[in-house]
Amino acid sequence: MLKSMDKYLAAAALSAKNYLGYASEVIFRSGFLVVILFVFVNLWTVTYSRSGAEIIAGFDLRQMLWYLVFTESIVISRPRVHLKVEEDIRTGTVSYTLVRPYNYLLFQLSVSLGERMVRFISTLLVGYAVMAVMVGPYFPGLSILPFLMVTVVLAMLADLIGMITIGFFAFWVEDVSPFFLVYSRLQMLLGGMIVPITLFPPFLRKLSEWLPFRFMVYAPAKLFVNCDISQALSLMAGQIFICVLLFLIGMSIYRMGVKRLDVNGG
Amino acid sequence: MRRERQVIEAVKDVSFKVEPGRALALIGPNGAGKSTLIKLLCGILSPTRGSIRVLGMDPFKDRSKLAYHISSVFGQRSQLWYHLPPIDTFLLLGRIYDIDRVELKKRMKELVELFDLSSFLYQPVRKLSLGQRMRCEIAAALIHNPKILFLDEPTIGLDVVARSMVIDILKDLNQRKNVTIILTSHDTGDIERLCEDVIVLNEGRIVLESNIREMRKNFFHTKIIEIEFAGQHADLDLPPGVSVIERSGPVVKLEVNLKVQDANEVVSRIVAQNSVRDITIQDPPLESIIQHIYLSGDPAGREAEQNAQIDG
Repeated sequence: MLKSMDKYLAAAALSAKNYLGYASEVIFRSGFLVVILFVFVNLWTVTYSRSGAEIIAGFDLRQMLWYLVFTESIVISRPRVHLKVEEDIRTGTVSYTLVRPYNYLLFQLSVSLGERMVRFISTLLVGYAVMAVMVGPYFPGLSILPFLMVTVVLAMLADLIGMITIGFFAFWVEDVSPFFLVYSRLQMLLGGMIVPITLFPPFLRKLSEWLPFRFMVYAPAKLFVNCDISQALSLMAGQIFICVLLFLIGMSIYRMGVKRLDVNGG
Repeated sequence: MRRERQVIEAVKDVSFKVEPGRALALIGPNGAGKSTLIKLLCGILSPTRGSIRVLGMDPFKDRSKLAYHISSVFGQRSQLWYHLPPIDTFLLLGRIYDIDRVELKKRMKELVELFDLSSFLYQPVRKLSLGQRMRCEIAAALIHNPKILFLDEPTIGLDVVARSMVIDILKDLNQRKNVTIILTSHDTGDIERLCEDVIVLNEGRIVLESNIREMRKNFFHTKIIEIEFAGQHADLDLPPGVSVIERSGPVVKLEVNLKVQDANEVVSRIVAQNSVRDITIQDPPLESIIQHIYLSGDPAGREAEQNAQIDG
């Protein structure tokens, strides 16, 4: 099992190294976060001062702002793996990977995870520096750090499997962008990227709890500001379940798609 | 409005066998089924009828097992990582093919020497020339020491020097390392230098399966004689079946129809009547034979047989 995962770990590491070649994109992406955070800091400062409440939806102002640094870093770091998969299917490249001894979904997952980790770390560092200047530094407890790292990786894996699965729709349709648009908007709204899901009205919160998006964005960010180890364990169990479920769905769609694979010309 | 389904048979009635260590060329016009045949042999596609055995395995059913014993290079599809040096791709492929680290190091050393990659092994792929990239591409395909190498247009876009180098290396691999090569190319020069056997496809069918030397012999209706005269020469008194195809100063190029005239007799006659400085007899390019086979389609085999009888 470990030996068979070795190739995927190597692919993830190489992808991270490869992405460092795109230094200008890393800087631009991180710069974009500065603008977003500036808007959020002002927006939430006004919201808290106008409402007069110290805690909103279980978060004080500092927690809310650090929560947003984390959710934004997770979402902004997302590579466009669905488009890569779409292109591979459209150009027939996916068929050539059939003769390589690896699982296409796992390979794309590793490559996109490697790239995403570099993006996430660089974005988070910039976000941390900006927020530390604006509202003062924040140090999550050392004991929570290993759990935090695992939940971030699991959150990214679940999201990337979802994106790759959307890319597989290219076996049937020319353009997967509309599907990704719905996916990303649902994730943005119901995953807790802009506001924590605890702020939602009951029916929306219920809906959000039934969907996988909260495991991808809300849950790791909440852990970052809340540092509750007992929550971390149940969160990780939920994330693993979602990853396995999405992987099985993704593989079923891939297998159906590969059956109808039509490789045109040379 | 109703969608109509049209079934197109990309490859049909195809049957052939390749002995280990041979180099086979699949040639044919665009849409002849060459790439489809390679995809069937690699296990990318499954035949609707019939069966395929590659190294004793069904390429489609045993694809993941076969992947460790075969390799493929598809001219315009790279497996090199663009921003990273080729060595990184080689190391990753070593992990993908579960190659032991010591064995991988040894294998890489061999390939670096064979393909002369040492001067650019640590340079990002984006900085390499097309020829250097193709050498790395083929080296990457050989990292797991495959028994069969499938190449689909490996020299496409390469300049003369790079193309020659790639073909020399492939020839060396085939002859010294006994790697079976199955190749498609539109370049007849490459095919002639590298392959012993050829299969000509047209509209999904095999129109000719032959040894390249045999094909040349059976399909030659003409020979080209190039003569350089010493000084001025009178108008040539040419026998029937011989025509001038090019004239440039003292150099004259003749085409001899072998069904009508014997090339040696023509040479003797010209030498007897003129003062000649140099004379060469050439076969027409392979390309013209292949063009002839495409145009004649199915009867090619019959024609080859007839010509063989004529020659014999």
